[in-house]
Amino acid sequence: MATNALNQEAFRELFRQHYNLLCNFLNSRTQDWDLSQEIAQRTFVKLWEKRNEISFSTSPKSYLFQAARNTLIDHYRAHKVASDYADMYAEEKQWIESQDEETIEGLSVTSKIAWAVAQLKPKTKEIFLLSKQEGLTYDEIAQHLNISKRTVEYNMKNALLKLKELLKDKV
Amino acid sequence: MKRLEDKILQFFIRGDSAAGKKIGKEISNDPSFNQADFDTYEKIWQASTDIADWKVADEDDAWAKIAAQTGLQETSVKRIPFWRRRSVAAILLLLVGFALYYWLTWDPYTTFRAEEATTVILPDSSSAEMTAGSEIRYLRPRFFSEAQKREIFLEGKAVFDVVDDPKPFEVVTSLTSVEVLGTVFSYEAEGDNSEAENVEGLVSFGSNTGAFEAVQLNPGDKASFDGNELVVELYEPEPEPVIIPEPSNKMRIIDLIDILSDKYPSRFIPGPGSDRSASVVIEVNLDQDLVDIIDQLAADEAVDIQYRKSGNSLLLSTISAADRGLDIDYSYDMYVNGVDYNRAPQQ
Repeated sequence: MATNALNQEAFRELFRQHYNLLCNFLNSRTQDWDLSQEIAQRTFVKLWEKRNEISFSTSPKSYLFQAARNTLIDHYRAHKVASDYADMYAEEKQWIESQDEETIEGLSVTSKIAWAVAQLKPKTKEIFLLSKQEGLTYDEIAQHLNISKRTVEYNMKNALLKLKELLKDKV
Repeated sequence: MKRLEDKILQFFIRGDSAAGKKIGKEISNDPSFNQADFDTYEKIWQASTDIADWKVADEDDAWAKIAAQTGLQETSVKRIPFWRRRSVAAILLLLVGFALYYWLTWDPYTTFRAEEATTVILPDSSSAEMTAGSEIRYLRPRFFSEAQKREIFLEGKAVFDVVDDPKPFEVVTSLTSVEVLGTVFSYEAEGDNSEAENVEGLVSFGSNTGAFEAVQLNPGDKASFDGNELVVELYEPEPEPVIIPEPSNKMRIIDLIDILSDKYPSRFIPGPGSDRSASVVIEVNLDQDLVDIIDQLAADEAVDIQYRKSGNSLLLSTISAADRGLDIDYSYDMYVNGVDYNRAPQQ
């Protein structure tokens, strides 16, 4: 048994911190949200089943993403006999192997920003998301919400200020 | 610094517009410009565009599936923000404080002091007729009905009318107590002195300290205890008055003449006209002396009597009377048979 094997509490915390990030990481390549969730869940199940055999030479997070890659590869390998998946498998395998910590870190920043945006006041959040998520111009937002363009700019400024405050030392 | 930060914000908001570019130049020329600070803003600004592709997974559902496959507990563990935990802790502390205060100060008993003579209806519908200045204390209705006995603490005096109930009704004073099921009784307590009087039913008067064995009080009985001595006054009913029957003194004239002749053979001599209207009933008291009997008859307006005294004897010439419809109480036969005329049965 590995000395630093996962106990249930640590496993639950690992899930809580990284499950959504892992799903988004997988989804960024598969563009299949259901499959991404399924792979992520299978990764966690495997991790738990092998908890006594694993010794984390790197961080649990790194191990988790590596395991997710392997699980996704296994998934495509299992389906490579099906011609529909053959090309996809080759492409994904190449992509998956090229991924590095930087990509994961980038997603991690996005997840933190998504968390911070969720903390904004409702009106500020709505305006910020219409701009950054939906890509609307300030004029379009003003028209959509029946407010002045100046009000839109004021809320965008406040949103950015608040996000920096929330994400200080985190990004 | 504040002004610079405001310019940086404006720079991102205005973007590539002419105003944005102008602000950008001003920022870079500002001596207090901090590149690291600016980079943080830029990173957030750039990365926030990526949230368009960010999805939020249902973690509870996922954990339930993982738990089902691994045998782990399914219970969702949700992190509670620190400020919320602190709020909850504060509220809990407040509630505990209130509960503690309530627990320490709350009295399950209700106390009633009668400023003037008052009748109080107790939770079991029994009543306490209190004198002015008396005080009773008993459990609040909810607890009163749940208690094993109906317990009342008394100072002063009250008359209790207790409704029947399987649960004993007990009135407690400083040293004594009265226990009943259903009855009427009065109870008075002043300091260590107490006195109970039963009116109806059966009452048990006992000591709270074991100073004496409980005594049963029947209706009318009284018991008192002054802290040293128990005094029980058993009720003794007034003897029933002896009803003395009215003398049976109604008889026919003929019977009266015969009785007096026998009773006073040498002193009473009826003449030949002495039996006029002999069957008419007259009233006479035979317990008197012969002379008094004749005087009584002479005084009766309905009676016509003529007689003459001769020495100690009395010669009766005539006696008659108006018929007043009186019934006979006593007769010559009864006299002969030894029946006391005063006790003669009604005929």
